[in-house]
Amino acid sequence: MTMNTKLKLARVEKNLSQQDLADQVNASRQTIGLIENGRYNPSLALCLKIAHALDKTLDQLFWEHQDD
Amino acid sequence: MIKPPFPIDERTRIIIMRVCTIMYVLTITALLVDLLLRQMVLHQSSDQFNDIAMIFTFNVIILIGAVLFSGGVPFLKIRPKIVFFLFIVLIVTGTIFTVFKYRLTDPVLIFNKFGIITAISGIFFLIWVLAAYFGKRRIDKNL
Repeated sequence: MTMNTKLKLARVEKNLSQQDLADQVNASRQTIGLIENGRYNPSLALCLKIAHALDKTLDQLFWEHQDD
Repeated sequence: MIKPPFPIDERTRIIIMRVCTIMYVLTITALLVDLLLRQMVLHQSSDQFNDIAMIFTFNVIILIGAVLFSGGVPFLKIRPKIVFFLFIVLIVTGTIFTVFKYRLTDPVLIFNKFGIITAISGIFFLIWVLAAYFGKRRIDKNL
């Protein structure tokens, strides 16, 4: 599962729209959308805020396993 | 702290900074082209464009100094040979420009101008070295 999908799934699990999540982490909806589409790399600070808002760890949301 | 009228997050901040940087470079380039045009093509006297020249000069000095002070370039890690080479390039460029601008042919005059340009370039380099030194001290203090 890609990072983008994990993030989107975690958000949907918590019944949050992109706007809701954006409001919680002080970002814009476009930024959340771009992160989910893999078109923007958030800073570590924003990653932590998102992880905290979704009750997940950084690994659960942002770690990418490299296939052998 | 004053709240901005629209939400600014890290992404929009990066976009704004990128656009401002590009516009700054374009503006400085336009100022330089304007100065060269007035001197070389329109042959205007220096009092007609002194204000533009001062804005351009101070801008460039402060830009380089600010980059060095904030640690953008590890100036003190650059080999002294490279720094000396840059210094020579600055002096030579200034001298050639002056010779062509004033159409100098007298070697004594050229040597005098060379001396003035060397002194001024030396002051610029001293300002930049001090900016780099105090910037590094500031960063090291915070570590």
